[in-house]
Amino acid sequence: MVIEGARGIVVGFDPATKLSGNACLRLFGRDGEMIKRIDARTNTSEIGELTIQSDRVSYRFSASTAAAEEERGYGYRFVVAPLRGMQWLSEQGVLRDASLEWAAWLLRFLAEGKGAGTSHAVHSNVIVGALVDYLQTQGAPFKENIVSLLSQLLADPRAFPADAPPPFAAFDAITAGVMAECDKLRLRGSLTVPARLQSMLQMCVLALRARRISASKEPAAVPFNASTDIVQSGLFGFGGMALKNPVQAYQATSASALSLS
Amino acid sequence: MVSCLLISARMPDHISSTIVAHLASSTASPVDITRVDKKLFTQIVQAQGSWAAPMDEQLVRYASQLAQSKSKGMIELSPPEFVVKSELLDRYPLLENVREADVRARFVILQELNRRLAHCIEFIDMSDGGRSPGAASMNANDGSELGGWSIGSRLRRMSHVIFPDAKARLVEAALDASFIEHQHPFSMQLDNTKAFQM
Repeated sequence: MVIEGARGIVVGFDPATKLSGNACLRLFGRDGEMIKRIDARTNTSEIGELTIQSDRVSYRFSASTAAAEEERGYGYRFVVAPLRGMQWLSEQGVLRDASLEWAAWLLRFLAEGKGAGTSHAVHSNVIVGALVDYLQTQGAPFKENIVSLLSQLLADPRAFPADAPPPFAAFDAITAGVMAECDKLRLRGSLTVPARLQSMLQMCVLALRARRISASKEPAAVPFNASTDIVQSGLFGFGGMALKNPVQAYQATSASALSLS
Repeated sequence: MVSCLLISARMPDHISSTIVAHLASSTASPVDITRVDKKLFTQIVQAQGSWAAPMDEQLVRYASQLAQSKSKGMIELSPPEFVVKSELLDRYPLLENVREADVRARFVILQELNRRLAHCIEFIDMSDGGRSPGAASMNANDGSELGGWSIGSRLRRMSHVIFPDAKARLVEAALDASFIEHQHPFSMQLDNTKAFQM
């Protein structure tokens, strides 16, 4: 089944779907990779909808005649529909649907508009929370765009209101998963790291940095100015030169725990 | 660390302390920040404020020459081995009027950056995806001198201080991956040193 132009397909199963014996239904994606296998042991009421990031899906049903005669199940029924609200494919679509692609572009544009004063409108814990929820939604498309957008927002943690920081705890599970993947690659000695993992890791690192900055109220880095940042120390300046801002001991936080073993 | 180097800002003190410890040939790890030489610490922080990218370029070229003469990698050079030879400085005029201690301290800082980078370079997306020319044009004082928000974008702006040693593992892996056992009708020679100079 092909839906031209769709960025994703939703496969909705009839909750009554029930296979028996050795009957088996398999769904395949664009490149022939198996996406789902349903057999007598599968509880289809728990599957609900499957989201496939492709404009096509194929299926194959197999069952032996003897098994089918022994015990008859309901069989299977599913409906295939294009994933809506992801992007506009035509001018009519602009009037009819939402577009996640457009929303992401708009948020990115506003986040960049520091001079126009729009950045603070986008640096919101509500927006970050919604984007993280989207990332954690199984099968949702465009995740690479969302990861990039989140990274961009977290790269400027001081733009968030001090009393409403981003929901950093929401990144904990993602960070743990990403670090586990990185450790696996390191153990294998692989130097080929998938681009998606690189961007996920960047997002996690930026989230940890943002968390540290948010907790410590660390000021933004500014160019060092010897005439203002260096002072004379001791009585009448006989103690020599000293830094105006005293040396700060390193505060170990969870951010410092991020390391590739 | 990269952001601080890009705008000549004071680096996080725990990193500066590590640099002081390296210069003092201390092997203690982690470095006890309360025991570092405060005078040396202040000198190092102060000296960084006056460094510019062209000086770094000349410093890295000088260090490369020095490392080759000692048959070592740039990351492996110890602070005492990094000596500023006055007869070589004609070729590096921007370093001529800088105190040797400051040149050495800057080199140790760049070494620390490269040491950390070498450890994880394969995990960094070096594409320029984080650049945001639209933002730069809206406001020239919004930090756009950092060269975009992504880690890779900022590192690309620092490419002149990335040592060949830091990316050696990636280059060697790429060469290994391109090796084909069977004979070919033509041969090709790849020169690592020349490639790094491109």
